[in-house]
Amino acid sequence: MLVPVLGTIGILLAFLILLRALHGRMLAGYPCFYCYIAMLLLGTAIAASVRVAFPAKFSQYYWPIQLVTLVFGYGIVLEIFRHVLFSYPGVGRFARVLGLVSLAATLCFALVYPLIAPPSSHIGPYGELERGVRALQAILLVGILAVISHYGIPLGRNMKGMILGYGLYVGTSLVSLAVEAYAGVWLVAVWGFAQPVSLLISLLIWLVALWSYAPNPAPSFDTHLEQDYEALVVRTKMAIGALRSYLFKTVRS
Amino acid sequence: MIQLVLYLLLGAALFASLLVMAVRRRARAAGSAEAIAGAQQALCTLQSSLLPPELVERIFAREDFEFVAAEVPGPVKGLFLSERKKLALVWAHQVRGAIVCLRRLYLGKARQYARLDFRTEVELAFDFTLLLFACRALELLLHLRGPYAAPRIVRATATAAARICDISETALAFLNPPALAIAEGGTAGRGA
Repeated sequence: MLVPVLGTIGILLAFLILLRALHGRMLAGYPCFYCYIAMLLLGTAIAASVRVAFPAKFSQYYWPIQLVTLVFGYGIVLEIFRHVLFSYPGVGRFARVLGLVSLAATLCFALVYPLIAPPSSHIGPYGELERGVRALQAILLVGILAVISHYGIPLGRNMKGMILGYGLYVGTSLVSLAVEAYAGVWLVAVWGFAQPVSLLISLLIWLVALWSYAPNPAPSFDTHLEQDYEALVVRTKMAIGALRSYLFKTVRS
Repeated sequence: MIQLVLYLLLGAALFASLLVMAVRRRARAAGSAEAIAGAQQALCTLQSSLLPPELVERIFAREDFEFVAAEVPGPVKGLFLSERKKLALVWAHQVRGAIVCLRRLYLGKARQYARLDFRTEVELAFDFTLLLFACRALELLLHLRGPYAAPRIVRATATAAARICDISETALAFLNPPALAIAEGGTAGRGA
């Protein structure tokens, strides 16, 4: 009973987000994000209709819709690169390398671990696939957030809300799928609500954060400092490396 | 079980990252006058007030303590230790604060550079973090065991901070008076 209610509220919130985007002319500003919201709205509406009209066939429709929505979710990552990291090409490239490294590591883990670990999952192959993709999204988000935090890149209200809502949903989905896969059906009654509730919270965050267009602060590139950064890096690396070995030698003595 | 633990750790890391992002203060503009002035102030403070070897030796010299211990009664000795510990902690705290300021300047420059190298940046981030961690560890040691607990670490930290100052001085050289005078002369010429 609760799940259909949550689904209806989710449809209304997604519809409100799109309506607000149309009214505020923000569709062109964040096209990938609004494609994801539209897909979310469509998928939830189809799933809710099938649950009511053909309950026996619900699982056949649920997972394909969920997986398509998963793929569209990467649109938010694209928006992060476009709006946050585009103005900082070096940092953006750094984040892309980090993303590729995390993708490679996750793929290796996904390929090798099933070969050495015994098959044990209560969530089925689709659930395991979603869990794997959520893990990849989580690693990517953690890497991007680490780069943004380390270099002190400013975030506007729109991007902050987008990242917060998406990160919350990805994290909750990952944890709930991991726990369900391990603990079994008896825990589904509790954790089964975690994903829909977190999606509602994310939709609320997006509705508030994207109520009006608030672009990212433009970078203020200084024109006064014209030092050679590469030379500075080389000197700094040499100095800190020497000091680190000196420091640890001193401590050990 | 291992898989579950790994997934839970990943989820926790993501939630922690989101929390840090949500509560983070607004980043200062790169190369802003405030950031540059703060870095230069930190550099001056480190070079003239905190890192001169004679000052570091004076703060952490055991001779003062030995003299006081031999010549004065117990309560005075305790008071001396307490005050010297406060002084040492303030010194360590200010050194760490100044290094943080210089690191901020460094990251501000890195943010604007288009040809960042992945491996270099990871190594530098690791090195700065380690140096700041060493400062924190020194503060903890001084707090727990008094001003004479780790003389070698004090010397090592002071030397490390001095080397960071040398590098930062290069980055802030444009603020020196001769450079400013040349800039002002050029501007006056164009205005006439």
